[in-house]
Amino acid sequence: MSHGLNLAYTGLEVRRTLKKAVTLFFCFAMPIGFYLAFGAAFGDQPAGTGNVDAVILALMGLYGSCMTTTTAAIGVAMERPLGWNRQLRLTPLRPWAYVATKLVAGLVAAFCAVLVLYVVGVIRHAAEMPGAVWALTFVLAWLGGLTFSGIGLFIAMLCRGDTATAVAVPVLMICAVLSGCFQLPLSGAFFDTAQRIVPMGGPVRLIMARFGPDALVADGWDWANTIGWIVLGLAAAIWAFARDTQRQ
Amino acid sequence: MAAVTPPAIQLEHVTKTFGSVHAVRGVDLTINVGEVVAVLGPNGAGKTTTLDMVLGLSQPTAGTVTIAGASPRAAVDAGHVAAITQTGGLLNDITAADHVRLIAALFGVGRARADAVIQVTGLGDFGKRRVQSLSGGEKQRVKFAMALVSDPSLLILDEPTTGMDVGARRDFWRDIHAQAAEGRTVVFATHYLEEADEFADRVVLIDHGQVIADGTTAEIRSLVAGRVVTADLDSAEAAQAAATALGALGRATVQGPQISVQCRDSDAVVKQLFATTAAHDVLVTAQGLEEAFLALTGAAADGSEVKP
Repeated sequence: MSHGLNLAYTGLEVRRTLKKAVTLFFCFAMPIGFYLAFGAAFGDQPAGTGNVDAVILALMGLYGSCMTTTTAAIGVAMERPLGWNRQLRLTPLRPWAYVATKLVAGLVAAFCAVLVLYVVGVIRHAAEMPGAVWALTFVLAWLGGLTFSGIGLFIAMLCRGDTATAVAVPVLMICAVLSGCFQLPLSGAFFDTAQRIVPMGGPVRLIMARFGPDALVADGWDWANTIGWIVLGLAAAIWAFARDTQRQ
Repeated sequence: MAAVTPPAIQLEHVTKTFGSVHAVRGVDLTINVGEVVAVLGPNGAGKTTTLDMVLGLSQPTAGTVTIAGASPRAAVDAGHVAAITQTGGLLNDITAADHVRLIAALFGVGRARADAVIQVTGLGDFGKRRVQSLSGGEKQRVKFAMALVSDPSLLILDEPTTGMDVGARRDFWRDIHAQAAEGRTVVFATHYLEEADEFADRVVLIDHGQVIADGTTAEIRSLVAGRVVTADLDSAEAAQAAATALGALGRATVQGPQISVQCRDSDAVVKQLFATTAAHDVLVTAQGLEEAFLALTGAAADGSEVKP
């Protein structure tokens, strides 16, 4: 009997999330496509200890990871109208474990999304960075997705069905633009401040800083942004979850 | 000394309010092990709300619910109670067999049990298909299999045949009866009187959140089995006077010069009509089950209780 996380259920959710993420343009196809397009255009310019191709690879990994954790989280909103959580409440699985399963499945699927992108990067053979930076940017891109595990779950618990997607995807897109994840030629005080504040801004800067002081110098604020949004997102999700269960 | 078996379900003074809506108003109900009980009532009577509390899906505002002496949550955890809901409760993108195996994993009963249930419930034919492509009847069969995984002693069915065609409905009830024959207690909500009549040993009639009648199907039938006598009189005043005079024999209603009496002893009504009035075009019809049901639930609206 499992009250908490269940291996079979988590495995099933990883499979479902991956299937959704692969069919959804945003999680796998778009980051790979952007990497190939932008990398070919500006890739050979130097960036600290690596080149721009490597920076775009890592940032697109972060973007794909965030999209995948969001996709998994949105499942909560999609399944409620189907009566799936009601069905699960007729089993020993606790409601919190259902939500935790979505979070874990999102992280595992996000790992796969970053992995596939990095394999494309290795095959393309244009990204240049030291071995340690390959590893560090991979981990940062992957775990940066946690930011949107919490935010995604929060949105999924407030909105039903497709509304959750309609809210979450634009939120993520705006964050991706303002955080500098797309490396768009945006500059000025507004964008500098926005990058420091929005979710994803912290992970973007932490990834870029791995390329050395010539690329960017990260500070405590970038860690605060990253950890802060993860904690805030999860706390908001827990609050919405508690509010939801109290209604019964 | 024989141990006393606690009832399969016991509800004591259960009420449930949603804001200002009183969905359930003081239900006392004891269902014993092995009974097949229909909870009958019109839409919005409080059937689903009551069953949700039995399943631990919601908490009573007041009163207590126990299943075999334990709390609903404990009974669900132990797999003693399982349910088949009206609609939903399935994921479209995974197969029928995936559903059954998942429930088995959550109850920790192993894959062999899941495969056995898939076999027994005839899911083998479409077990590998995604739920998306299944018919309404097939989907209910998947939920039936999911409900059996934990080998529950109590099955709760909330309007389980909604959306099924006649054939699927008949097959479904045949399977449920096979389960009841194995000693499982079965409680089902329905608003189809025929379904209650045909498949239950006992009928609990609920309306406006209260139990308005409770008895064996035979008792409920006798309670509602009546006739309707209609007759034309010369004037509305005469009809009104006749209705008052016949009040002791049944429920009389008047529409213009026409009088209509719902009663058990239609002979007595007809005799009195001919003896005391100028009634003509007298018609005696058997009261349909639906009309009887409406009569009973209508009576409850006045606040009176009908005892079998």
